[in-house]
Amino acid sequence: MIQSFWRRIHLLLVIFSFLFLLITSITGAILSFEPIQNGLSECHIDRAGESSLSDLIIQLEKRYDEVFEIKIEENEFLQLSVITNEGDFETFYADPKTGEKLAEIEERSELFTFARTLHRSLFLGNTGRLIIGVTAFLLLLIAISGTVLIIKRQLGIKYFFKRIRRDNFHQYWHIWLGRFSLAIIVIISFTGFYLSMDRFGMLPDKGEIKDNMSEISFTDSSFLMKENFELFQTLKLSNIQSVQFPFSPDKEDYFQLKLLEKDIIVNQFNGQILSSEPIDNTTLWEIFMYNLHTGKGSISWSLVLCFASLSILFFIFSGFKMTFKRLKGKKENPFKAKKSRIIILVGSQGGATFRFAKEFQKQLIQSGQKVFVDDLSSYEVYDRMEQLIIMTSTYGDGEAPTNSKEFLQRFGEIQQKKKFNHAIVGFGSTDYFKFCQFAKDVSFALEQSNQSKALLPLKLINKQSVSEFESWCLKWVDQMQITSKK
Amino acid sequence: MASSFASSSYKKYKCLIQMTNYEGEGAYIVVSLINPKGQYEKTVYVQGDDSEWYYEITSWWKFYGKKRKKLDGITGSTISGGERSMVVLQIDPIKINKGYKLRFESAVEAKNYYKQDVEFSLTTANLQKKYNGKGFIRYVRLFPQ
Repeated sequence: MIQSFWRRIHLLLVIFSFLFLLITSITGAILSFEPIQNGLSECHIDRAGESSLSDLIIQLEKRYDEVFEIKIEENEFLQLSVITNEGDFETFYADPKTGEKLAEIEERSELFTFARTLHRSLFLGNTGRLIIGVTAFLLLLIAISGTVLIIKRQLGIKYFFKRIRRDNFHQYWHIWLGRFSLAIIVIISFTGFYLSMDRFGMLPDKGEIKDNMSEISFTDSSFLMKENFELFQTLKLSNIQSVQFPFSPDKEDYFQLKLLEKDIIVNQFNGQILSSEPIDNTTLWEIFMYNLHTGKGSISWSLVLCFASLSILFFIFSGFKMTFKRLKGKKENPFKAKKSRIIILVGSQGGATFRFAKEFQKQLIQSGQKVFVDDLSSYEVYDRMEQLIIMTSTYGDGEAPTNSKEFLQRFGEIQQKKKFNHAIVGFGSTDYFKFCQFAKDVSFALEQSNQSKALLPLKLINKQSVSEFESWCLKWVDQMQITSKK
Repeated sequence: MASSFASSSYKKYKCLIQMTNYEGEGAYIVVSLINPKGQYEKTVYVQGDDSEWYYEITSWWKFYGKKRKKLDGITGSTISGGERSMVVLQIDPIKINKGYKLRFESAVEAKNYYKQDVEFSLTTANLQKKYNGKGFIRYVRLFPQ
């Protein structure tokens, strides 16, 4: 019951959000390549992260008439605003070693721009952003409910990474992949949700930005060339977000530097720090969240994010496959497992044994019984079970069929609420040396436990003999009626 | 960015835009040349490179939005509360001292829009002054190149 509650929540959340999840995970996967591409770019600051600000200024003085601003855009690319020797005002990406112009600002990939707008706002402006924010929150809930489902299915958190029961392809990989990417999806959805909350101003305000101008006092009137400022010589490019040069040689104008953790104002004549303001924690936290969500600055994390985005696509696909299969299964089982007194579990490789089980189920239901048929590996707690019938073939060299491999282990772990009767039918061929070996193993395991009594002794059927099976069925019905009359 | 078109005949003015300490997204700022009749004549500079939001600068959008001429070489990225940016404005000298005005409009997504955050007459003397803004702009300073 609890499991089906969580499964229903999990499914319901996906139904509401899967369209947007499809869009965001496809675009997300595309966008994850941007930091990778950026990291390999020639304008990337990592190529000269250890150079000092002075080194760069010396290069720029040689190349340009005047520098307005040095900006290390998103801590990655060197961007310059300068007046060229020809007298033109230009802003462009530049080589962090030489200051040489490398690319125009517009030359950012149209694919990334398109994918980003779709990812952020679906081209719907604020409405779109709100939808995406809600989708991120739903994804977080989906990931949480998915985690709960895995824990329930693996019968405890400590078995989270234990072997998964293999029922069918989609289910198996849904869970297998889920165990690895759930944590990443939680991070992606949480940071995405955080970024959109921030967008709508739902987070605490940042500290008031101080009005620097009025507080500045010029105490030192010495004069130095700017490349000789001690501060500029020690400051590494990797610590800088931006450097704005003085607007004019006027005394009231200054250098304004944005470093990774503080804003400082520097006297334009001697390099003296006039004011220093730490960047507030909210802003730093926001940057951290942004980087975590986008993979900015880390190629390996970007690859992880790409993997998680693609895994979401697989989850949607395989999840719906499983749902359709389950709905179909429901039709075939008119009574729920929890409500059925007779449970027939089938171990079948090709499906032949299932046909026997279904036929018997049909007859029993016609005579007014509540009967549930399932895979042998799906053995669980059955609230009203009185009779358990196991029909199984054997696979390979006396081994369990694929849909039965987990049965013995689960039988050992699961305790039914009340005692029940069991009857076991093995299907096989006497041509094989280990005739019906798995059925024998199952029979042995049930006899060893004190949970049930055998209603009939183990029955082995050779080469799918229909008449043998039918006579066994009649015998079973007789026996059951005798026991229930007692 | 290489906007050398006619730039030789234009006069260049360094322009410093200092924002107030408002909360929220980066501001879009449009600098336009307004003719003596009070109509838009030319877009001088656009601070904000994502044309998705240009419609929020409503008054200018009525002028620009119809044709959407390419804003080659006269756009820059948005700046946020407390930040400043330095740009170069190119002004045709024959428009100076002829009753033209220079208008700075500003808008912040999901916040306010100021049609005349800063506006002043285009005269030689005015092109080297400091102007306090009424909206998101704290002040604008100009300085001939």
